[in-house]
Amino acid sequence: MKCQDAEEEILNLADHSRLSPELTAHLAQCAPCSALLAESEEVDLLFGTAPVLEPNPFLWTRIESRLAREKPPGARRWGFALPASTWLAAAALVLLSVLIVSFQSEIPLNPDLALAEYAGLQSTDGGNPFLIAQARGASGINPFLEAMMPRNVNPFRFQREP
Amino acid sequence: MFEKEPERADLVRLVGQAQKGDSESCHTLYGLYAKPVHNFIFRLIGTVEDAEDLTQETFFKAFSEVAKLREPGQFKFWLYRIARNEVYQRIRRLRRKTEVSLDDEEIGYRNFLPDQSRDVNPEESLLNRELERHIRLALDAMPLKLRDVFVLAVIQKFSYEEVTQIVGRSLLSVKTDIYRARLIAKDIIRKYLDRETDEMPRRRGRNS
Repeated sequence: MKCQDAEEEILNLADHSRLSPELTAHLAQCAPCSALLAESEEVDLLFGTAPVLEPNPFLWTRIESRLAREKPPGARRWGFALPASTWLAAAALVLLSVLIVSFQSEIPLNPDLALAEYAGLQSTDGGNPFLIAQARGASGINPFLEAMMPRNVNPFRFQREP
Repeated sequence: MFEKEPERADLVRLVGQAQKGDSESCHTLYGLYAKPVHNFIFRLIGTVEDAEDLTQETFFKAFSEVAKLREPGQFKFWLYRIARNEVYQRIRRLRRKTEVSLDDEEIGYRNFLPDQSRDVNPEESLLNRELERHIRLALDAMPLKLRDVFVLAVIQKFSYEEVTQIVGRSLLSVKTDIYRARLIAKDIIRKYLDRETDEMPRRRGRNS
């Protein structure tokens, strides 16, 4: 075995205790290659005993918090799978909201038309709902208590009969 | 480096539970691999602060995407691949900022790390300063492509076959790079060893 081949084998060794028979024979008669093997063993030993750092003890807490908080693209939310009951409740809320909106849509949105329909009056300039009620012959009527008063109508906005 | 490495069956069970979102299993896996992964990243990137940041990123990504891991028994190598990718991405970002050539063969990564005075850190006060300094010099002198395989094989004691699973290169390529890294390390460590040898007679003279 030539020194060049011996050097290559020595530096390729993952385990310095496992030498090929050819290398062992070469080392028996080659002081420089023996020195290289010893040096290589020492280098590996030094690096192998390199100081080991302990990770920050709060690192796991940070990781855990971040996993609970964030959801990387394409990843399942970690530990936060929503139960089916939650989804059902959410669906029920959405349905209820849709029903409420559709119910509200039956109430005329034009307050003038609504009030005119209620009071049987034509729209005029300005007006006091209490006066209108008096004009109708009703006394002590509080238009806000009238059952027929639409909820989205501001009685102070309706127009007085000329 | 690895403490109480689990049996393969236990590892598969742990990873399987982690894939279902079990936080206790994730915590156990973190406990098993945090220290070696943290040290692997530290030896590649060179600063404790960056190592902590990248360790956090590594485990966050691992547990976010563990459900995609098809072979639970390969968790350790998969985790190291994520860690290695995080280091490479960080170094590429640093290089883009400094607008320097990306030639790994000529420029060591240390030139791209800002504010290196931060490396005089409290942890060094607990370590063998001179040895640590020479280890760092040796790793700094290696291009990243050599440094990662050297750290995996020589410091973290992975077999060459395991190193190929992590870095995704052929056995021949890994062996060649470890060989080249050893040549660099040997030259630098020799100065440390020679200095230690020279120091001995002087110390004897002082003590006598």
